[in-house]
Amino acid sequence: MTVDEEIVVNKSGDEAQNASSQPKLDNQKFLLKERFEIDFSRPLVWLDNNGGKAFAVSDRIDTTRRLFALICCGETPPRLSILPYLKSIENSALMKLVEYGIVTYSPDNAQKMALIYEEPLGGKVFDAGICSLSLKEAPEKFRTLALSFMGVIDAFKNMNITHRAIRTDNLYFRDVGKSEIVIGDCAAAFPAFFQPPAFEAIESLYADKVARGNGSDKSDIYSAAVTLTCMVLGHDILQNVSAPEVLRQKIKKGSLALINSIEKIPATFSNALRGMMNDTPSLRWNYSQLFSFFEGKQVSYGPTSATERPKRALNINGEKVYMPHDVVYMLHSNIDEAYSLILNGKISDWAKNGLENEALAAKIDVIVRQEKSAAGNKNLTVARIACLIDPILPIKFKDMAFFPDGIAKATFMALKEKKNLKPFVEIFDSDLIKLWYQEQESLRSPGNITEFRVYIMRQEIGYGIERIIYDFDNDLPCVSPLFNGEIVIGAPQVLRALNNAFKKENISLPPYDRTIIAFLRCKIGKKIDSLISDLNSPREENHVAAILHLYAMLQNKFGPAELPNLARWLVNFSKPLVRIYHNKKYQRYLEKELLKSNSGKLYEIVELLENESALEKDRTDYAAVLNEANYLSLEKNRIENGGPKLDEEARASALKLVSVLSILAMTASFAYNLISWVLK
Amino acid sequence: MKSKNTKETDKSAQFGRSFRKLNVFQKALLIVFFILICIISFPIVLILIFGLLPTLTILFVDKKNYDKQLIVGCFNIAGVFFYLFGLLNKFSIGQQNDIADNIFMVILMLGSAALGLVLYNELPNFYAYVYKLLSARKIDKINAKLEKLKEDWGDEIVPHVPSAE
Repeated sequence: MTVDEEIVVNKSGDEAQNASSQPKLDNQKFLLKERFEIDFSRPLVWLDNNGGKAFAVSDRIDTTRRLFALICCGETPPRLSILPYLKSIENSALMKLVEYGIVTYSPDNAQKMALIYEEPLGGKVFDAGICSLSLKEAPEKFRTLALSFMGVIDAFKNMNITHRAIRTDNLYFRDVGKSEIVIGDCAAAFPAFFQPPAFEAIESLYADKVARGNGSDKSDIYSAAVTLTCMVLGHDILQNVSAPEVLRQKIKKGSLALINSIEKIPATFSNALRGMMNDTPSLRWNYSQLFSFFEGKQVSYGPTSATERPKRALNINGEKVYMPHDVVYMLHSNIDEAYSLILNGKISDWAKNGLENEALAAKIDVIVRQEKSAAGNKNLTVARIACLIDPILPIKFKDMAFFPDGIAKATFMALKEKKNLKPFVEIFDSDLIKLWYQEQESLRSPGNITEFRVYIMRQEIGYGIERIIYDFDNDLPCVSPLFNGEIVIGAPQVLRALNNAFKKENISLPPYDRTIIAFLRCKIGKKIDSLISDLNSPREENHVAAILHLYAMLQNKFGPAELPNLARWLVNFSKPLVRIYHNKKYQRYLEKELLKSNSGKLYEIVELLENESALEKDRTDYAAVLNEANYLSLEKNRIENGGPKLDEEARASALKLVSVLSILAMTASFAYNLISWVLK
Repeated sequence: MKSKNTKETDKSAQFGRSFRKLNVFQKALLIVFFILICIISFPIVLILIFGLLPTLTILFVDKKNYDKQLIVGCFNIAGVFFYLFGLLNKFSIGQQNDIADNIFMVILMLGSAALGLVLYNELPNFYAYVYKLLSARKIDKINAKLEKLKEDWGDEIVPHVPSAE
């Protein structure tokens, strides 16, 4: 996502925030963008999806339009970065996103993201796991539907985004006549977070739910294929089977074979589904291949697992495994044994003789040599070897399995749920993610990936794990505890959220924390690096000055024009900056002026506190006063400590005086008597 | 003071050396001349010996205290002058008896020496007392100024002051 596009997101969010500040119609209604009236008293439970709650919406301009709002109040934040693209997509097989914005969700009076969709009039395609439409007898309908799904996936692909929520309970009939099917929301939760195990390909299923990442169009094609399979079969599949079991069986049998083993897919459909459901992502059919197939052209399915199967097996935990993903699965399931196999060189032998891949064997040997020369990390070594053996699979480290583009979300959730962040720190401090990207054929690693280690090493404000999260993922909102639960999706919302938080209660904490600064650094860029340096200085007044400048800059750039509560918060927080002036009278004057400045304009506070001429005068006066105080104290010391000596001096002076007096008396007497004698 | 004493001692020693350099005749002539003077001005010498008794006493008793000698001596001489000049007008052998008999004159001569002694003893104490009072007032003023500075510029202004030690 480009910066300009991000600004679009920010602006949208900003507008939404403006809307949120408008007076509510009543406790049960909220007006979004002065047009869409969300009625919280009219829930549409059947449209609840991806953790979100659906409510009826009336459009004030086009009153005939049937809309509903999906309030994102699930476990995970919405996918903010795809919202502008989603809004722009016009596809008959996709539920239309009309608008989005932040609303005050009345049931818990919290700020939530609302997605306004066109309401599907024909209800859900699947009801309680049973499909209300039979495709078994309608191959033509199957073909139309498959191509329309592929069309949606292609539309997403063209915008470099993915849907990741194609499943049976996310299909709706657009019209009352139930002739058109639309795919529902995909933005209310993390990608593939609510996908049942049956609908996810092996590689995605292997990753933790929060860390599946955005994936690629191949992931969506797989989900669409399973959805179509369910529609052909008339019901959901593998509903009551746990995710690890589905994964195990998919690895063991292959996806299509697994479904066929449960219920035979009619031959009319199985060939198309086989192409779409290929367990090797690169071999999954795309739109043109599927279209060619429906046109009767020959389309390759790629090599089958039987022809691909290596000649030699690897024996792990008493089980013979042949295929790379089987090996990786077994390595991760038996870490200790896997580690000894790696060190013994058996994995390298298997790569050389079994897979007949000399390059892979050489790479494994390099890791083994490194491991032998230095006391290594068992989990890390197994994870690195697994990345080399099957790069399609996600990285598995300790208890976590993640795709690199999902690691930020996983870290975010761990941070939110106050989980142990040590494994994440270990991951970012290692070369695992870099190694994974190096092994990908069609993926390029993000430019900032080399910065991870730097960020992790630096524990200062604006760095650390928070910086990685927001630098690596544009979906994530800022979740500082200072926001009091308010959703902040961009830099413009930060000040409003802080303003509202201080309005609710007087907070004694500083008006910033690591999360906010890391978030702002990622959204604003290098411009605030100098301010971050000040925030990490040991001097408290530098922190205050940096925050005042940062927030004043944000207010000037994004508004709003008045932030009275935040201004009060900053005034309370500004005392160290007031104390840089030495003159107490001036300090008292500043405190009075700060209390008076209730306009909510942050730059006024900055101007008041950072008056250059006043500061210079204070410095000069202080230097003069310091000299005077030094002189006075020295004088005082001299008088106090020189007691006997001064007494002696006083006596000596007195004696001199008396001596002079005596001589004068003698002279006067002589003169008087001489004059008297002469006159007589 | 020490150097002054040394100077005085040097002078007397010089006088002693000069006196010793004279021959016997010269010495005898000088002594005869001195005795002659004493005889001629006997009333004056007598008044001086009587009137300057306090000073002579101090000269013998407190040989090293030159200040005391100077102050008492000067006041004593000031008192003696009144009668010494009176003696010049009616200079005779019996005049000294009249003066010595005049108790008022004796009080004046000895009283002036007493005044010198009182001043010598008490003025330095009084002076030191006044000086202490002035110092205390000066410290009060400095304290007030420092308090004002502290009030205006904060307490940290005082720790900056280096100790007098």
